[in-house]
Amino acid sequence: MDLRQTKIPLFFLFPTILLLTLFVVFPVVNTVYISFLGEDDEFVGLQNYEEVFGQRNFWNPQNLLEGKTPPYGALIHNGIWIVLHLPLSLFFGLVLAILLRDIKGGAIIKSVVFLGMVIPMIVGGILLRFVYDNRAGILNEFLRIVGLGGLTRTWTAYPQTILLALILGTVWIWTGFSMIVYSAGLEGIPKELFEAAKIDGASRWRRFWRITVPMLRPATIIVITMTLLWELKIFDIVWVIQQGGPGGASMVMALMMFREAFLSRNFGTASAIATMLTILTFGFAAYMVYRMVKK
Amino acid sequence: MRKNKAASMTVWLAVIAIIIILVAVVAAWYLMQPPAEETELTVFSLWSDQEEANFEEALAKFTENTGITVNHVAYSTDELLVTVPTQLEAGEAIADVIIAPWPSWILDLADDGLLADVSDMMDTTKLPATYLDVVSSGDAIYAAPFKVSGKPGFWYRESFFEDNGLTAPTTYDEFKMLLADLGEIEGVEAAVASGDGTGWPLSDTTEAFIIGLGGYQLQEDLISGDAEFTGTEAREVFEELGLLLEAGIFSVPDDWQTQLQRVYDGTYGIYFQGSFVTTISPFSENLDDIGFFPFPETDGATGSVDYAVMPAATENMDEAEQLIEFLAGAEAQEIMVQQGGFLAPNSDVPESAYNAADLKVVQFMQTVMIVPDLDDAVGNPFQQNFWDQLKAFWVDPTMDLDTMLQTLQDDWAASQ
Repeated sequence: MDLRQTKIPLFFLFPTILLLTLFVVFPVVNTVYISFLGEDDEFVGLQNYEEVFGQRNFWNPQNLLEGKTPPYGALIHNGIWIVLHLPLSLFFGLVLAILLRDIKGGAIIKSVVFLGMVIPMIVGGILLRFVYDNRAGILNEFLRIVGLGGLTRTWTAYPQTILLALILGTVWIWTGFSMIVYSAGLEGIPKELFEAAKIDGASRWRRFWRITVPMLRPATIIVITMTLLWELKIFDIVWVIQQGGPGGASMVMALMMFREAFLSRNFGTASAIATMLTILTFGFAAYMVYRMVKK
Repeated sequence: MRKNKAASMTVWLAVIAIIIILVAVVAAWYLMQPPAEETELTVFSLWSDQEEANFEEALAKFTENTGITVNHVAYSTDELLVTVPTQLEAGEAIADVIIAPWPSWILDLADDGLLADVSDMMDTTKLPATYLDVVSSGDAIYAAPFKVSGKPGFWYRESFFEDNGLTAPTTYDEFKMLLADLGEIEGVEAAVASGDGTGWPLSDTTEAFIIGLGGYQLQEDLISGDAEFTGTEAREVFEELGLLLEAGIFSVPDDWQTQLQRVYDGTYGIYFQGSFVTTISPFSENLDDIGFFPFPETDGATGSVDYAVMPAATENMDEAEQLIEFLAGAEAQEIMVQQGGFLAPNSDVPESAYNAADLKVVQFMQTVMIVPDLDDAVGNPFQQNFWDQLKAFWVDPTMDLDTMLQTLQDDWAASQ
């Protein structure tokens, strides 16, 4: 590769590198720097991190260890989001993509499912408030119809139920994304593979496990990566429904960072949370990219 | 060839001539423009709809008096709380005057040198010291009280009370009997409506119990730190409130404006709210049938004040000063209270400016000690967490009270 060949790509990359440095790298580095500063910009080491972990809203594993209901703290709540929301979104996305692949009108149904992704998350949050409302909500109406009227309540008003209600509600919103990615992945699998397996006598179940699942690996990695990042930085839906409440039962890291920075104006602790969030998201993303590249 | 060259030259000359003519036309148009308009002030507030229309009437009077035009921009609570400090810290004063109801927020900005001292812009002898003390630091006063939302007590529909043989209680025992009676009426889902939203309707109700059962001094002491949430007095108030919540006296919190309709239609019996509810439907259309009773035997009430502040970085200092002076004065406040729902801090505003419903509130407020709103005075992180803890307490009153009160005390300390 001669000098000219090296210079030309660099020339075209320069604006992007410049913008990324200015608007991504510099703010990230500066945020990490601020996380070590006190109120008067003096160096305080890990004090902001200690303060964050000392807050019940961020780290409160006691309730979890004692088998009590939330709040468990934002860090654990984000973990619960990942544990519950990720597999459910993957499962429903995959199932819908497969079921709707060859069905007449499947594209229309897919569009309807994908609506959850198209609407702004704030609107999604407001819709979820209605879904779970005791008087106007479709969930409670369903419970009444099936004779479980005694269970009806405003599900987002109680510390015991809000986290689960939010997670399950956002499965509906996020399933559209995984379904679309899986649909695209399914289209990329050569039909000959299925036909050959069929001729060899492979059952439908075996074809699914031996062909569909392995061939969808790149799509799965993309869905897992994007879903994980979304779960870690989730903010808008939680904010619009109960602002992290009641009693901190739906508090998540991004929301706590916002409250520390812009409502309490504690930029040191807010930066500490932001740094931890960055490390987590970067760590997950780097691992997933590594898995993808390695394959 | 020579002919072609000549033609080409002609085209070039024509292009240059057109460009020159265009530049001349643009320059002439620019020079003929009238001089820049007079200074226009920008005001941020939380008011939209009817409140905004009322405020704009007051601003129109200011323009009439001074010739200074004012552009009002309605912000949401979050927008104001979040964006204004960011703008001011960046040295930008997009608004020349900001109306905000949070004394602690105002003092935080003032401590950072972001607000101007407005003490010379108002006659402090006409304004209650309670309202000024919470926005003062040393000799400086950083905000001018413009209007007050009195929190006089529990609102109800008078005809509903008459139909069911109910009367407004005068003692706490009578109050508890009323709550029991309301709960037994067919169709009443809960005796007391609870408002949701960011959490302030619940904190207002809680503060009514703090003042009503513990006295106004307890509220003041909780603000100043002379009393603690974990102390006996405060704990007793929360225990009593917890018993009522456990007994199902209060509804599950729901949108606070929707709850007004439900009080009116008899789903709930009473509703603790500020005086501004008389401007909201269906109360606003049925003022003759709407009444309130104060928390029985209370010696105090909260008044949530909307303050006008002036950013230190405003480029229109003189005009902004005139506006602050106007808003702190009786003329602007009289216009504002005439629209209903609010009270004037300025003592020169005559009682004749109020409608009958507001006058009752004014007269009641004159009989008790007016104290600041607890969470507005303490500020964040206390305010957000106070609201949040109350939301949980309201639906789960069996939660560990010690933990909740310790959390509130820790948050109070973190807000200092």
